[in-house]
Amino acid sequence: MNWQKLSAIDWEDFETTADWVKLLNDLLGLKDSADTPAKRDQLADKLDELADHSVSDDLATITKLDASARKAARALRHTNISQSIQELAEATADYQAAVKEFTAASAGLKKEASLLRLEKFTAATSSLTETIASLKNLSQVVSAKDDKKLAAAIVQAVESAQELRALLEGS
Amino acid sequence: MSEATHGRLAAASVCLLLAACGSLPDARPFADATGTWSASVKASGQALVDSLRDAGSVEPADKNAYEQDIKKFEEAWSARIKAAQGAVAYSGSIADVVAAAGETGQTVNKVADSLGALAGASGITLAGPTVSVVSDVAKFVGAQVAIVRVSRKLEDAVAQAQPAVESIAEHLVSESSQQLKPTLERTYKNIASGIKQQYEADSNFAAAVAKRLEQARADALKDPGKAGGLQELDRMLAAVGGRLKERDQRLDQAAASYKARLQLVNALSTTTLAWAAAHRDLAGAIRDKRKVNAAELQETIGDLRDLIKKVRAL
Repeated sequence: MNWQKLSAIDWEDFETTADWVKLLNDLLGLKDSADTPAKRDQLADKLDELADHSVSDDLATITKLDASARKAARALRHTNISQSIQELAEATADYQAAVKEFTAASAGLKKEASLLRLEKFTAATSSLTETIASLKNLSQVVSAKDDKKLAAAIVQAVESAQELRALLEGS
Repeated sequence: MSEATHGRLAAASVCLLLAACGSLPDARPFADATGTWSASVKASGQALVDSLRDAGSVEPADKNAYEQDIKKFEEAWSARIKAAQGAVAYSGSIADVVAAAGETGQTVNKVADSLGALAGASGITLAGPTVSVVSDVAKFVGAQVAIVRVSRKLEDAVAQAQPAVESIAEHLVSESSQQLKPTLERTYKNIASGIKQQYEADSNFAAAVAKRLEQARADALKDPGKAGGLQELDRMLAAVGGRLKERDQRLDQAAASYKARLQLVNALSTTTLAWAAAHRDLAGAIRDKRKVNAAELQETIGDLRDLIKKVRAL
């Protein structure tokens, strides 16, 4: 992000919470180069606009991001520079805390999804083992002489199930 | 011809002679109007500062910084009060000089000194032994003060003071635009930002529901069986509708207060220029030996007072 891009921000380009996190990070990154009142005002307006436009189903995170954006915006508009610097530092810390929570929650969700996947794989493998055993039992009572076609189908089904189980176990 | 008739004719002749020569007008109406203006400038500043202090909606964490911004505004306004008081001193001095009706070098010097003092009170530092850098306005006003000082007649001195008076008035108007208006704008934007933050969770919830509602409407158009979901989303939106309405009312109130404050600052600029125009009329009145007319200045002061009431009422 630079000062030229700042005035050309299209709010429709941002959809996910991660998009808003990145944009706010970029905007806060400009605060150190906001060395004129006009630049400080411009950046402050964009930060407030970000809070106006941001939308996400992750309400807790987006509300915290908005709060830090607005806090930084107000800090930039204060005429007392030392007060402004202190409040900007607080806003940045609030942003970092929100991002930390968001990242931890995302990692947790990924872990949860991974565990769920493993559970389903295990359940499917176990179910296939049972199916294979049942089919093998069935093959013992179905004589090739009685029903040649059925016996061949059972053998084929057992081979397919074993192949699938091997694939699942290897995943 | 009786002695009485002769006496009456003699008196009439003296009156006619005096009228032809003309007498200097009473400059008090100009000085009085300037006094009224100065009082209104002070009252305007107080109304603005009170209005800013009364503006709630400031986040508790911002109160300290907000108070400092108000103090900065007060300081900027005190410069306007000082300038208006300088105008009172100048106009009083001119009225005294006109009343004394002397056409001496001392008279024009008084006008020149008063003009220099007015520039100083308006924040324009004229060139001097201790001043190394002077602004363009100061150079111009300083040159006019010098011209006034070498004038031979009072009417010339006041007329030559006019360009300087106009330049000082324009300087004050420009300073108002550069200092007071940006401060008011930043303060208003921070108030609005603070209000929005207090309703952020409701606003974000409404935005997320609105996004789903948009999709649900499109789905319902394709499959009317899905229309039931729309009502559910509408109910969710209605749940925060009251809070958002309250937010919008507070934002409207903040915007109206900001607009009134800005109008007051603009009115101050109008009266400043009207004061310069009244000075032009004074110069014309002294030249033409006619009555001073400060009606326009009084009228703009009336507008200023109405706006003071408006700002106080909000």
